[in-house]
Amino acid sequence: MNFLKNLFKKRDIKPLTEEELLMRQNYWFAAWQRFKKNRMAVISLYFIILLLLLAIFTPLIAPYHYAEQHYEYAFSRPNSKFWFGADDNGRDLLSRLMYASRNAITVGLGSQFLVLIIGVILGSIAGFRGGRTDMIIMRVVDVMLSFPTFLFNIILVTVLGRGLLTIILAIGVVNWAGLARLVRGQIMVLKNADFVEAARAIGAKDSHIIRKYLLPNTLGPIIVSMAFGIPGAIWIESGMSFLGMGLPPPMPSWGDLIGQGVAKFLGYPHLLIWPALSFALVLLAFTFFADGLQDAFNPKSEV
Amino acid sequence: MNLIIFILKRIGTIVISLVCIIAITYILMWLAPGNFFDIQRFSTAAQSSQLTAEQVAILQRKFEEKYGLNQPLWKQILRFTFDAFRFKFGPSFSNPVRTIESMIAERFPVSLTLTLLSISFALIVGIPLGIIAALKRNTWIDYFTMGLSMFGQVIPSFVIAVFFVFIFSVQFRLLPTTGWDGPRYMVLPVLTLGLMTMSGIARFMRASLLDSLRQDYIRTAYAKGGTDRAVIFGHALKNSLIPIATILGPQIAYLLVGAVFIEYLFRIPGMGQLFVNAAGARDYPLLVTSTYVLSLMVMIMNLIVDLIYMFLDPRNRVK
Repeated sequence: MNFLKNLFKKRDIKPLTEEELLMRQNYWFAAWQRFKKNRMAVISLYFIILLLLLAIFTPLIAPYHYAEQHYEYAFSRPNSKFWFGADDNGRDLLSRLMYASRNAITVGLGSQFLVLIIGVILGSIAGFRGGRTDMIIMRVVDVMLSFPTFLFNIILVTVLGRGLLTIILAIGVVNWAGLARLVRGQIMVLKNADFVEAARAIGAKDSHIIRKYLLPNTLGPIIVSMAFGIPGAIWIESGMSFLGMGLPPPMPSWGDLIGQGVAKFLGYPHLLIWPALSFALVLLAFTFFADGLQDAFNPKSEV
Repeated sequence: MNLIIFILKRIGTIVISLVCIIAITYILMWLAPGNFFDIQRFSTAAQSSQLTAEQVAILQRKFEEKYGLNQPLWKQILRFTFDAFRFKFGPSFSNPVRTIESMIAERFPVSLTLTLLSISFALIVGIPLGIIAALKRNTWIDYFTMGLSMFGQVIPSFVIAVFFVFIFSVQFRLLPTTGWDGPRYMVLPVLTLGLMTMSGIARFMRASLLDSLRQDYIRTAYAKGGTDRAVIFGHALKNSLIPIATILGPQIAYLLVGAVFIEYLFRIPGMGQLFVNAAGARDYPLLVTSTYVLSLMVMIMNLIVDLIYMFLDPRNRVK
């Protein structure tokens, strides 16, 4: 009997604290509150802001130009003139790393912008229209998700020519499938909600409903997906450079710097260690940041 | 009966996607400025023997005839598609003497071995790691394994491979650095290639098992007096293993991409290396063919994974 009594006993309801009340009011505020609790994510955020500033002002801050050669200092180890040492052509490694990160971040942001446009448009059309349109778009998405799209990146860059713009284009055109699927799923859930019905009753057009009612409500997951996409794009860009198919030399890229470092590792370890470490650090920062965002926007996902 | 229809449908999808992939690759290469002829043949031949313009034109025409480049694009695509499904690809640009199918026959087993070994490694190590992390949740074991798998997932395989080579081959001189000549040569490539998939599986396994442990039937099992071991291994684990099959599909695609780097770095004569060389030399027949074979490989593996998933999940079996 005691068991039954417990079952039907009213749970005592605590009044909400002021903070909790605020959290319930504002989606973005609540997300920020949750994000702040993840210490790694916050540190990563600061790190990323620093990186962005460095990337923007690289031409002003970098001690040398990325292609400037000082043959008398070729292979020199880290010293007061070249803080991270110099490579086989006497080019300052620190400057080259700074330009490499600038390129990588440009590729990351640029390609994700392209992914955003393609993915959101196709995803929302598929989700909103449904039926045959949905089926065709989703078939393409399925194929792209199970296909090693990196191969197409390489083919596209081989065909279009090597350069920053073509790499951004190649990554953007090939990697939108995940976002399209996400947006489609969100919109399929939302499109039958009451507020959408109400908008339709007033006589809103489809495109208006998608833009003003559906997309703002899927913004959280879209941001998370893009945050994960940035390190992914950086990965692809340096991967291509590593294989010798990325940015044309003398333009530095992490992949290229690492590839060069591998060849000279035994004699001059600093040529590999600095690029590899900084590359790993940047990728980790972006991933921790994206992880934090995911937990912030989707509190149920904490396992 | 349902199963046969499912398989046939999937094979149909595979064929359609392969045709699309071939067509897109072909069109892209057709759009590319500068063809193979004026990149290599023309320049070297013209420089070395001072050919006249007419002789070069004749050479170019012969070259185009040999590879069917003088035909309209749609005919080329159609012909290649038919050839592709019969596995007859003819000679490549850069090696006119050998047929592409003989090169692939040489390299495909290497790639398949590398991929399958890496998947096995990822499953055999990743699943137990995930289980341990889930059972020791929020202890240092959990944090350590999950931190490690975070690194494994984020840091590109070619960076990790470099450090593995440094530790195992250069410092301790235990394993060879490059080549593909027996089990000793396989250790490092398989380890580095499987690491990313392993990390993904470990993280997913942990989440999946924790999710299972929170289900109602677990509470029921405990209420019936089941011991920890009986409940976890008899009920929770079984159900949390099934979703692993769903992430294996995308992981296979990642793995094949990773293989391109690993084969490049360890100088393994596999499909990925063939692809990279073809792209570097703008050897278009070889490029299309290796893309085609790699896609076919991924799609067949995906089909196998889906079939395994169907057999594992009783809900699918009933239908």
